[in-house]
Amino acid sequence: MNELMLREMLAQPETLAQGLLDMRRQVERLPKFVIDRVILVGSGDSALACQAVESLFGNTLSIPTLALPSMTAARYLSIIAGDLVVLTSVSGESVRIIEAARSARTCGAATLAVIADPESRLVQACDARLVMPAPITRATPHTRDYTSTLLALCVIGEHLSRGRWPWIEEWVAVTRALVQRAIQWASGLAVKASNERVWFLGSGPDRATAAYGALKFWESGGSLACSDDLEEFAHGSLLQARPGDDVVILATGPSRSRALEMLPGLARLRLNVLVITDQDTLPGVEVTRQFQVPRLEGVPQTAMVTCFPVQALAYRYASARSIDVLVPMYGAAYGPAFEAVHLEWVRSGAIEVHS
Amino acid sequence: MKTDVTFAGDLELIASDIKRQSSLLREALPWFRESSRRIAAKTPVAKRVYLVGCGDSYDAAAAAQFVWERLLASTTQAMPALAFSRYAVGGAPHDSLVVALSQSGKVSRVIEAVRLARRRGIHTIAVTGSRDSPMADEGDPQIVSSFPKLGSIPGTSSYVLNLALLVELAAGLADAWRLHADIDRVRTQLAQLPDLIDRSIAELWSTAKVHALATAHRDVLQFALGAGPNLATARFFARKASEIPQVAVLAQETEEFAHDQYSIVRAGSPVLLCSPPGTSAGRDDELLTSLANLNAATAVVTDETRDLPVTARPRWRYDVAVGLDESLTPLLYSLPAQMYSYELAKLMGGSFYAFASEVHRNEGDRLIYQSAVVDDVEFR
Repeated sequence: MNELMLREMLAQPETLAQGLLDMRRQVERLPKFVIDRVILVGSGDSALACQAVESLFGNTLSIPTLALPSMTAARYLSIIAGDLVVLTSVSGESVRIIEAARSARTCGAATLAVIADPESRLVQACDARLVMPAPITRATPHTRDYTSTLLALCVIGEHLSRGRWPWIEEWVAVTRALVQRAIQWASGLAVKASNERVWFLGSGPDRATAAYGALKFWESGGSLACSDDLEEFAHGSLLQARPGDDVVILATGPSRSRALEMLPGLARLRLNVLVITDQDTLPGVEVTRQFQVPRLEGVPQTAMVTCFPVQALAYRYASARSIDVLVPMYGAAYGPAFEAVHLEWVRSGAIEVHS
Repeated sequence: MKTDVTFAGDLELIASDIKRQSSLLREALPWFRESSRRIAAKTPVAKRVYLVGCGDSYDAAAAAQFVWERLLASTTQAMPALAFSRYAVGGAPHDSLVVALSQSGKVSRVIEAVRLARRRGIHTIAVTGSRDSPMADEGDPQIVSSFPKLGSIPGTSSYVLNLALLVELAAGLADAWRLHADIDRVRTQLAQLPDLIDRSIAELWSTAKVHALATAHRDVLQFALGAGPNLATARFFARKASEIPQVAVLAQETEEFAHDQYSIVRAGSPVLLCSPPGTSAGRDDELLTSLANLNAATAVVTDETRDLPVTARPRWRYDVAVGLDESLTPLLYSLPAQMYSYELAKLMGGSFYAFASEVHRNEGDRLIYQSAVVDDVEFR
């Protein structure tokens, strides 16, 4: 069961290695954008990939960078000439992204499409394009397409900074062992058959990883999962947790000390903690329930590596619960209707151009 | 439906807090304007603004950021305090502006954000509702009000007041920075807000009662949706449902919901959609129609001028009084969240912040007020 999802996960190292070469060649042909601000736009996984690199761009480029969901970019933000709007969509057919591209162009901003389909409508709506590796499938909870999007955004970041980001090669290199190790780690975890909630908590770049984790669970037969900023969990959403829930904490970078501080309380709330960290394991949690990711150049890059154990968890939980991720809504009678509505929502509908 | 439920705590304090909002606002608005004018006069022009808070304060910041962006023509970002203090502060330009909110003035992470920003030489305005607090002790520039708390209860009126203060501060800065923004229009609408609340409250409350009665199931996951400034309203709805009756609500941006959480909606799932007339109304109509096809139990927060398609069929409709631009609607659209959570708690019981549970009582405040404040953060 779920062989296709596993195949996609295992294909990532090779896809990233090939994709890096190919996309670096492509960006050489892109214009040398002269810009005051970068707006990274996406929906679903693509929105989260944008959020994952927001601080990386902001810190490296020394100009404001905002990662926004497509609706906000299309209808609420004041986009201006001098903005570069990077629009990410694997299919290139997500209507709100197309709308955001048209709105941005109307406002005089430069637009760059990041897509896997060079014939898509998003490409037609933008000034330039970067084509990322073609999907193996779009039927599984997306893993390879997410990391391909991360890579594409990093290559664009390099292009804008006018210099190589050497850690990208290191990232691609470590991925080969990391994916295998993450799958092996997750396979050793006990998973309750019941559909109890799984929480993902992270901050900074790993706020995106946390949201990505919850999304992978939702896509796996509609499994219950939640995500929040690590600090915000303390301020409210912990009241939605229940004893017995699993909590995956992304204890990376400067969030590690805060995560450590919260562990005794999480234990008293009888929440089952799993830790993903880029530093030493946390005392008080069984080592087998912790996963160490390699450190790349700095903290802004953590989301490049934390996504792999999160993917492995989604795969492990779905398989252990006998959820076939290819069957809509875990085989429920309403599954086909939900799939149809989903496609209707994201692929069709009116496009409004706001300026 | 169980009728023998009890709420551990004086739930009527919430009702009183909701009802006094308009009078609190009438008193506070002139003071907000004067304080904002005074602070704005000493605030250098910034092309980058960070609005920082935790909990309700973060929601208020997120609701206000679009007004700030429009009035000040500055790139404005609302951020949870941890994300700012440990990830963004190092890369924030020295000539940016940080506005940090903590109603209690005791939240470690917000105090940390203020200290780290000031250490980097970033102009930082601290906003708190408590004169006797560590945040107030951080010194100027600051706006410190004496918010008359009714007790240790989840914030309802404080949310609206803080949001109104943020809007007035943006207007004050636009004034001081001599920007050609529609300041008068914003201030006129703010001045009308207490009356709009008074005109809305009875009808909204009666809707909240029937809405709560039909959806009072603790084990059913709910959804709250909004776009632009009303994504913050959706988050606030989820927060109040957690804090008062301890009901689980997932908040999401309207468009992202279509990409993400649709997978976990079920027939009968309660969904609340904030849908003001304007920018996203067309998209909301599409979603409402599909939600009706999925047989979700949908409620809409809107106003009476909004025509919904017959295919949308929300089961409950909260109509707020007409009179605010869309960017200011969170000031009114937060009312149903307050009333609904109160009504749910009456039906289902619960306790403020789940403090009836010893472990929640012991961990809750400690987790946010006694966290170690770091002096330095290495974020490369």
